[in-house]
Amino acid sequence: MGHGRGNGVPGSPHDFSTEPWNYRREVCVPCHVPHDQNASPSLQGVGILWNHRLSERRYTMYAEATFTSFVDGAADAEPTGTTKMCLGCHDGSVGIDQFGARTEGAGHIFIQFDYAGAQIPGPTLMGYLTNTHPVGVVYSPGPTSDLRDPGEPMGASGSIGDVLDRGSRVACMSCHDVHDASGESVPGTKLLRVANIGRAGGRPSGLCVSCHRK
Amino acid sequence: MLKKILALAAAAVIALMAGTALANGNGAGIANSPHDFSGDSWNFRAEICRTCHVPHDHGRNEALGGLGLLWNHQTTSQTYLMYAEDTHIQFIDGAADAEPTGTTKMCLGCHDGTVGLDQFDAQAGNTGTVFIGGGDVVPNITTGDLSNTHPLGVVYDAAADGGLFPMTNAMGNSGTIQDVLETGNKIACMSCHDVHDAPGEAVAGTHLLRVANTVAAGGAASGLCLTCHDK
Repeated sequence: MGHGRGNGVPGSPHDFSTEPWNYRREVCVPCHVPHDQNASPSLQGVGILWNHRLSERRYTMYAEATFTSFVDGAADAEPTGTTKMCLGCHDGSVGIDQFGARTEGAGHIFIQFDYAGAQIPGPTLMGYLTNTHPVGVVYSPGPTSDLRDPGEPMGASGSIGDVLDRGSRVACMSCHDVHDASGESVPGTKLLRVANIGRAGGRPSGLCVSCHRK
Repeated sequence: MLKKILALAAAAVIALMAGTALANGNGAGIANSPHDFSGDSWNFRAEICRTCHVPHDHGRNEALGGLGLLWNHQTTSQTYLMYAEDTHIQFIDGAADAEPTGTTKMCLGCHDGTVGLDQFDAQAGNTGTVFIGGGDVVPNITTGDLSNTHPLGVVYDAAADGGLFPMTNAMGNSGTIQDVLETGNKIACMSCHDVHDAPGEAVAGTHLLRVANTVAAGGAASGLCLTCHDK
């Protein structure tokens, strides 16, 4: 898996159309399907035409660790929304080939074996999100908060509020543009919305300080 | 032991080289602050935040002691003599930790002088080559003696200690005294210092202090001390 090119899903790290395990040879269908025919009971009600098996793993979240006192916003007990979708593959518990007609079948292709380095949080700590940037936490800047106002600019997406998941929650998509879209994702990065280093064309830690007033 | 001697020798060299390279804070944010190492040759990532925090550590934090806050830097293995363990324990009313905890432990990772600044991210666990020295080292660098450092890991107990103002009193621009205490209302480095040199938090021209301690820095004489201590 290379870095993104900031040029759309085709040719991006999420383009699996030429992978031998992708029996449909399509780009979108490992994640989305226009008509799911109600074929996969486990995907009922997930939303955004989701076509891929979700992880059944229970997680230990950042805000459950001892440093809860540093999280001000309300925190979900488990991953929700699009984060839950991302973790379906990225936590290493669900096969990347468990999509479409194969959603309910057994997986054979797993991120830790076939796309090493892309696993969250890592091969030895599956299920522990304590050392991953908080997700499922409501972005709640207050008068004395270190967080910028949701109306402030965020990459090319518009505002910080535009990259928050439902209920103003921080999600994987808050930093990463999964579709490696032109004008959204910075080329040469892990699909980041803002460059974090000078040689990617940004300021040092530019992504972090888009939201954190430090 | 040899590793430690080498580290101390290196620290001495760096101290001589660095001199007073680290200036006071600007109170204008982490960028260009004393904790901005993005332009340092040893910072292989050339980022600001990453020398201390990382959004996905791929399990590394557990190896670093599971401290939290997405910690991305090697921590110290030093055993310390704490203030409250020394002869002046009778002056401490709140419960005291036996060793540094929480964010204090993180700060000491560099500031005890035994861990390299460059021991972060993929280089955590490697031998450090860049060490702080001089006035930036907090405890006694060879013995880990913190007995002459303001108490850390002590519960701020204004009920037990009549010499302390209530936690609800105002503190700098952070809000209240309680807002600068760590989990369990413990006193930590961060109680006095704003590590990020944030605008409106750290007083410009000081060692990242939350309240000026001198008239020259724009405050009252010992204004920081007297924020908590009713003297």
